[in-house]
Amino acid sequence: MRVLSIVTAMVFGLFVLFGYFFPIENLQALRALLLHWAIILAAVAMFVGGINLLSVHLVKIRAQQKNSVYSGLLVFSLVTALLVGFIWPDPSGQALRFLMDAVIVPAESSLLALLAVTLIYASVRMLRRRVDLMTFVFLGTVLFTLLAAMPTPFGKLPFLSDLLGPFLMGPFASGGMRGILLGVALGALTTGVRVLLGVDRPYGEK
Amino acid sequence: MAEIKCPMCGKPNPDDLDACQFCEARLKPVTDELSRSQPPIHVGDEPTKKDTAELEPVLPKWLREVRQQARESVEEQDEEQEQQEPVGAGDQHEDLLAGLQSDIEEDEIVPDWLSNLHGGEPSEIQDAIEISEDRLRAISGDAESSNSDMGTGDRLPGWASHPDAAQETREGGETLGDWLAREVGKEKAQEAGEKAPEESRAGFGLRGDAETDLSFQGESVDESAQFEGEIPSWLRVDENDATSEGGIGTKPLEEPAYREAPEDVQVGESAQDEPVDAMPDWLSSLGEETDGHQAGGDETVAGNGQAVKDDQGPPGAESELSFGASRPESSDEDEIPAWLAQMGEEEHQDEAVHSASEAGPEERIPRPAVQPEADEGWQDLSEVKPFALEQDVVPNEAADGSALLGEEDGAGPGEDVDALFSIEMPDWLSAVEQSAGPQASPEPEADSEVIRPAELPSWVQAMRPVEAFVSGEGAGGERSDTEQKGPLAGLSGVLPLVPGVGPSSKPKTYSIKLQASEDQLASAEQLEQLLEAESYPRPAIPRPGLPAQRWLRMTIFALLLIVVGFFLFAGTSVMYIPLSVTAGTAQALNIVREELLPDAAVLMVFDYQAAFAPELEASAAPLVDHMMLLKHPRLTLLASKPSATGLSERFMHNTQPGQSYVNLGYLPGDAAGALAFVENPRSAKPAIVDGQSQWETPALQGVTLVSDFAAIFLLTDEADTARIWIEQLHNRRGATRLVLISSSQAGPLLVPYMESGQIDGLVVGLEGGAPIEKVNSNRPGTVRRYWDAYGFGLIITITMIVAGSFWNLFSGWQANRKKTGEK
Repeated sequence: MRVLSIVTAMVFGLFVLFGYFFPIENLQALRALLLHWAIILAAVAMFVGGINLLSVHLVKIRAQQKNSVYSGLLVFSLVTALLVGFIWPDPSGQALRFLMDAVIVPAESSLLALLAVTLIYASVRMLRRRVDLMTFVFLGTVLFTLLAAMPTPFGKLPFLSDLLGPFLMGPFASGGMRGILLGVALGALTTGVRVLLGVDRPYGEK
Repeated sequence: MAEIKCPMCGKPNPDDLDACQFCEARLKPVTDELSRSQPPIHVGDEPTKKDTAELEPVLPKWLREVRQQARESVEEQDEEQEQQEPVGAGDQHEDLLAGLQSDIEEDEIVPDWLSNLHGGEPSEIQDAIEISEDRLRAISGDAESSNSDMGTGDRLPGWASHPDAAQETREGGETLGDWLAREVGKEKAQEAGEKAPEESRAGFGLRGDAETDLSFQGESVDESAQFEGEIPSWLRVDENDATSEGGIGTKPLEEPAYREAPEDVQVGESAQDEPVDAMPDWLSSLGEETDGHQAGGDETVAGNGQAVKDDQGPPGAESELSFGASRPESSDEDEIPAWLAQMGEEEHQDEAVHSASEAGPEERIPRPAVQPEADEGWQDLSEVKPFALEQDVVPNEAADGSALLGEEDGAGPGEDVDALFSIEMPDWLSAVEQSAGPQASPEPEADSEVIRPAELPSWVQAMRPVEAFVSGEGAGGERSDTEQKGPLAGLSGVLPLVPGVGPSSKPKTYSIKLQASEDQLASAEQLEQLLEAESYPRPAIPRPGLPAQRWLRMTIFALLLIVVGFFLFAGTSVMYIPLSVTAGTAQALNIVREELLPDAAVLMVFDYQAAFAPELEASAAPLVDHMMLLKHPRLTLLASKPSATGLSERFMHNTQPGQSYVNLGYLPGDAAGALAFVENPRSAKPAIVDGQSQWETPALQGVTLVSDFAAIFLLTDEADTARIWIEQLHNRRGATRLVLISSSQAGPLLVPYMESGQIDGLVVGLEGGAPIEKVNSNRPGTVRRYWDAYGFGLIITITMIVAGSFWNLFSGWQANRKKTGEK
């Protein structure tokens, strides 16, 4: 079974890769077929994941573990959204739009807003925890970037928004991001090769 | 019986054999006897001069007298030849015979083989002596001059000129070559015509020339025939006769005597083996020694490119070969070296011995060893042969070695031969010459009474095989020539290990214990500790945890909530919206305003989470609204995240209410789904609603490929998902414009794509949408609504960070000061 999974991953991966480079009709058709299978499998995997999430929290509720109340809330929300979707399948309908506007977007946005509070709190406490050069560099960069992007009633702050802001966002931020992207690309390439060679088995085998 | 393994073929042979019975290779070294009597020779040692005159008293008296008389007769003969006409050989024959007879009579110890000589008829002995003398004269004559004096009848060898001897040889077993038989037959005919001496001499001379050419100069018979003009008339007559009779014409030229030698060798060896025990010790030793010299000389000749390998061939043939080598170079008798003169003297002895020993009809044949089983007399004569060969060896050596290396005085024929062969001499031989030349042994004096039967010239000593001296054993010893171990195992003939070349003693053993001082050991231990410490991670220093300041967090939250909430719900317009835009925003705006055609098919991909919905809706709404107002495109919505389908509906409902669009729904599969959709949108996302494919709706008419869309707007909050779409659309979208609308968080990661031209427009966050909304107449107003809250929220954030940092820095300094004071 282990060998079968490895061979399957390698063969399918090579077919898709060769179909990307060689415009052979049969190979292109095989490649499209495999991609369709991948799309269907991904959707089924999401459905299976929902069922797994439901079963796990049902186990917690049944076992009456700690914070099982939140598990009950999750199960209730999931079942409700599923029922609403089955009952009113039109995504542009009122029911789903209500769920989206009233539950999903505010909840997630609030969680993201908490990030701002946490970051501010960490920045304030940074000089209490560590007082060194890099701490001052970090805090200075954050402050100057916020000041450069900060709107004022009088427009952009001179010097900060015209010179310092683009300077920080250009060579430093953009350069750093380029390096990160290159690293990501090389990592993705290496990971793909390792998967094709059977070294890495993200499908469950070690 | 002990066996000897042949060094050549490796087959076992009896110990008493000198030559291999399978391949006839020599089993015992030539210098075996010398090795026993002399100290071993090391590499680089120079040969020592050896005086072998001490062996003279060992010789029997009759032999000494014979030798002395031979010398005297040769001297007299030489004088007579120089001054007077040639003298007949009858006196000399008588002298030689008289000496031999007197010696035989006086010698008390007469071996069996010598006793057989007494049974011979006096006339036959006389003939034998005459033959030997003639042969010796012929040799001497050849040595004196190579081109002249060929008409002297005294130099005709008796064995070649006597018709009876040739006839008897032919009858005896046909061991002589055909050429000799024909030559003898020719002599018979010439005797009848009163020209026997001249013709016989001519035949001998012709043969000698032929041998000289063939054996040493390598010239063909035809080349020899080119000198026909120099050949006297009698020789031409002889050739004509030979042609008509098939006798000694050109046949001897084509088949010289030495080519028949192998037959003689076999017979001679077989005949020589038996009577060895019957010979006296002194004679047998001399015979063995002479064999060694003979073989060495023959091998050397063969090494010079000649086909001679006759160890025990006819002495006459050997002498002819050797003199043939020196004959062309010797034009004056004075130039003859002493050893050659001595050889001439010894040649008389040789002939005398042969003549005295030959009692039967075969006595005139100068090849006693040729007849193996004729009678006892022949066997005995073969025993005498080694001693006779001793005399023959010298010319061979001279032809092989001294002729090449040169004599000591430099006046002999070897000098000229040396000049002849000096160019072709290898380096090793030149080295031998240089080392041996100055120290060459002095020439034996012709008039000296000292006989040096076994003395080797210096150059011969230098050329002796080293291995026999080193090992102290001969080939017949227990030493095996085949290597038993080492990299050369299985090979034969490998040079032995010479003392002084390799290690002579057991290698010195050294202790493997490290000898180091205490300081060195301490340093080594310290180094090991350093290297070992590198392999362990440095433990993190635990820092004292700070107590959670919940009031601070609550304060931050309260301030943000108050400030942002106030300006968000107040709906103020305090903050100024700048009109300056980035390059990506400008290009996106340009695409919407200039490049898009009215009613063009536009695809909007929603690829963000619900948490970023407010930001992305506010950022994308002005651009989409501007596009919808100007171009009225046919919108198609596609979600790459599960919640994005509802978000897309939310976006359109909040920003573009009432607009018609097609929502294809969620496209699973991430990168695989994006690739499938880029390659074949209809196949990847059929989007069948109520039994009808969305691709058949008016919004998607004429769209079969991604490139059929006029523009693709990607709303994303993650750089990774944006990268997937950028990469998959790179080679498939053709002229389709790709505009990214991202959150402020993902914006910096997407700027490189914008700068590299992989995307056509980039709108980042509220700052990117604000100017577009302002250009779009503040529609739909989402940016304006968030702009004051965004501005004041940044202000309060910066204020809190600055104030809180200073306060924490001061409090920390106070805490440390307090700790320091307490300590």
